[in-house]
Amino acid sequence: MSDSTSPLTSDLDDSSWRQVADWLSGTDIEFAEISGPEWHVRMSRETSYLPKQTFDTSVRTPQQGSLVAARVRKVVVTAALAGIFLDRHPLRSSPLVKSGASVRQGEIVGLLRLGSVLAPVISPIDGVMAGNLVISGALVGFGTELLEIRAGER
Amino acid sequence: MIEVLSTGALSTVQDMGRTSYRRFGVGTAGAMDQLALAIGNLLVGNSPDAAGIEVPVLAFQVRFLVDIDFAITGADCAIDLDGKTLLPWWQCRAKAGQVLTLGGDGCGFAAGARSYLLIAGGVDVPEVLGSRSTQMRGRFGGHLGRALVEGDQLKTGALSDPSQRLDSKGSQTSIAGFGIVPPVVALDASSFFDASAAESVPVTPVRVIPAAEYGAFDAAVAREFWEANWKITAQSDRYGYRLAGPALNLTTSLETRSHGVVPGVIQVPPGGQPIIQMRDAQPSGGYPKIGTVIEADLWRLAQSPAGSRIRFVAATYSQGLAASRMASEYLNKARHLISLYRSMNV
Repeated sequence: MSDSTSPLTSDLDDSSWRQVADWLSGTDIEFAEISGPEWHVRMSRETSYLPKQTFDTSVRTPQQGSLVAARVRKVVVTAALAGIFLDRHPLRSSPLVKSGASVRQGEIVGLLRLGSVLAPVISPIDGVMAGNLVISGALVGFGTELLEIRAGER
Repeated sequence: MIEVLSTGALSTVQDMGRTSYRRFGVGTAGAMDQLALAIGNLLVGNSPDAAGIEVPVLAFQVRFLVDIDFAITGADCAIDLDGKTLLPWWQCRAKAGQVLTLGGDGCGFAAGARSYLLIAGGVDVPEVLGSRSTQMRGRFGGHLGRALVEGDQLKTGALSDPSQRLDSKGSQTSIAGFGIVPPVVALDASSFFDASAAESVPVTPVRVIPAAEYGAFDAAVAREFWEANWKITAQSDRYGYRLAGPALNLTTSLETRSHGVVPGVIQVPPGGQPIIQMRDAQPSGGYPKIGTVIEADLWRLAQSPAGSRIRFVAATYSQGLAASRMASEYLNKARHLISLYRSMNV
């Protein structure tokens, strides 16, 4: 959240993020996800399953616990609709993006199949494919975490 | 509006064809792979029978002169929009000035024989005898009654349903477009053909209903008809597919008067090498007919390139109808899901 140049969080300034963090710290909510058209931020208590090093900075609140927010180094891409997650096109034998490969913002990194329609799963950032969080062929609901993209170059 | 920059072969404007004038000797023409044409049209919000461009798998390049939604269906070959590779059976929006290239370099995995370029609003060429299809033999319909050449500019029609136009919210997801599970997956041949029973060479099975003169062939010859892996020869095109395989000879020669012939009819001329009539076939012929490829499998033939092998699988009339119903169901479901997806805010 210190990096105001990040394309992910540019819609909200640092003080806004701090305020959201403060609000959350007074609740039992374990995590909150906030999305814009081009970005997705997951805020969580430190006990959350996400490895600590995925966050750039942490904010100590006056109360207990620490809430951390992003400049997200790792972006979790979630399902925009319910469907079958596919890591490859039905006509292809290899995945759209292999783990460790570079991806560009806007690139199709997976597919969600609704019946016969194939909807794209898009990388919100330039980065590196860190891996799928669900297996190809799995039925996923709205908001299911599908895959992770690590920001930056390979 | 789009402009043809280069075309390697007989790329033509086609719709579902001219079906009401066969009695006057006018062949149907129309897209060889009608399922690909229909799905591509649905992907861009057109009615399934709007006119598109049929592109034999060879380099083909167009420039979009306006911002417009387009789809590529049919053969699975390299699809490139200004340096960006697109998925097969996919639609997205082109910006004015962008260049779409089909085939060309890197088309190593081409599967199929014909691609279809569909554009929102359809290709706007004059309707002749109820169709925009290019009638090559008669030199009418399509774009000036001929195959496309470099420099041709094609207008696009108005969208039949403006609500089908992709909105311009410009989210990355809407820019990326969307696709459809292709018929080769959704309607795969495993329901009527056990590929493991076939020889080592890949074959495309197509279902065939025995035709009027089937009984005139000896049982042994008929068996060869069903059991051979027929090679599609280089002398195969939109008029007809000439096949190579065992000679299907009649024991006694048969004289038939010329009669009506439709796409899918398998004729056996003297010499015994069968010919399957395709979309540009003339509407009558006199050779003995051993069978007819069911309408629901004509797209499989359309996507079988010269040099590939096909196999005939015996089918009944009711099986042919059932196969047509399955194809319609696939289309109808696709139509509903496409409009559902378009209405979603993703």
